[in-house]
Amino acid sequence: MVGFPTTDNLDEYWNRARSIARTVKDRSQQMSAAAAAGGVQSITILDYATFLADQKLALQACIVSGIVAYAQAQMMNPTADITTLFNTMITAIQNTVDWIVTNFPKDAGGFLLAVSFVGDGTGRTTPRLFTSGDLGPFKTVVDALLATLE
Amino acid sequence: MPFPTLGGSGTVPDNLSTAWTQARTVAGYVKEHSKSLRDRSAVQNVGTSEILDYVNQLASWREQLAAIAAMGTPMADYAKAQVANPAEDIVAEFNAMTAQIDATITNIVSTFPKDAQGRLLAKTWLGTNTGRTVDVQFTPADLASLRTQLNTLIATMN
Repeated sequence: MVGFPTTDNLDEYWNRARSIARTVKDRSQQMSAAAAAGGVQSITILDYATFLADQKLALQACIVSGIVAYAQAQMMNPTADITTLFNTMITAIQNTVDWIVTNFPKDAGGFLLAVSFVGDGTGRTTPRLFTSGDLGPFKTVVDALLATLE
Repeated sequence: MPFPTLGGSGTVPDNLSTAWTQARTVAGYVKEHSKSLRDRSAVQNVGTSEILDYVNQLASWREQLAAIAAMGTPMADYAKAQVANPAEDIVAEFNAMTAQIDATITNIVSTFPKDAQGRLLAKTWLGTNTGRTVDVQFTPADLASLRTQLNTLIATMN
C-alpha cells in the first residue's frame, strides 16, 4: 500500500511543461526583437543562455510516465505527436545555447570578452554592446526556436 | 524658503551633521569590505565577480565621499568640531583615505586581466555547451598586490 499522493500528478506536469514553454517563448520573442533593434548588452545574451539551460532541465523534468497519453487527451487529439513536438522544442533550445556558446566573443584562452572598465578611472564596468548586424545570425537561431513554440 | 524636512523629498541638500555621519558610515563600509576581501583572498581563491563587485562598490562610496568633500570648509570645520581633538587633522585623514581608495581602484583596473581591447577576462563557459558561465578564480598569490593596497587602505581608517 502506498501513502496518499502528495507529489505532482500528470496534470501538474503537463501544465508546468506548457508554462515553461510559454516562458521560453516570451523571453525569446523579447530577444528576437532586441536583436533586430540592436544595442543588446553582452550580459543579456549570457543571461539568456543560462535561462535556456535552466528551462531545458525544467522541461525534461516534466517527462513522466503517462504524460504523452494525458497530453493527447487534454489536447483532444489522440494522434498528436507530443513526443516529436517536445523533442523538437528541446533540440531548438539546445541549438540556441550551442550557437551562443560557439559564437560569443572569446579570446584564445576561452575567456568571454563581455565586459570592460568604463575607462574613467572609477573602476566601474560596462558591458559590451552588440549591434543588430552582430546579432543577425543570433536572431535567426532564436526565430527558429520560436517556430517550435505555438 | 520652506522648512527643510528630514528624510523627506525636499531639495535642500544634506546638512553638516548628516554628511558627517554619512562619511563615517561609508568609511566603515569601506573598511569592513576591504578587511573581508583581504582576509579571504589570503587563504582561498576569489572569483572575478567578487573583485569587480568590490571595485564597483568602491566607486559608489568614492562618489559619496567626494560629494561630502565638496561641501567644503564648513564641512571640514564641523568635522573638526565633532572630533574635538586639536591633535587630529581630520581633513588630512579624509584625504589620505580617499587617495588610497583611488589607489586601490587603480590597482584593480590596471592589473585585472584583459585583452588588447580592454575586455575583461573574467568568465568562461562552464563545461561543454551548458550555456552557463563560471568566474575565473584568482589564487591568493594572484591577489598579493591587491592585498598590499587593501592593507594600506585599511590603515587609513580607524
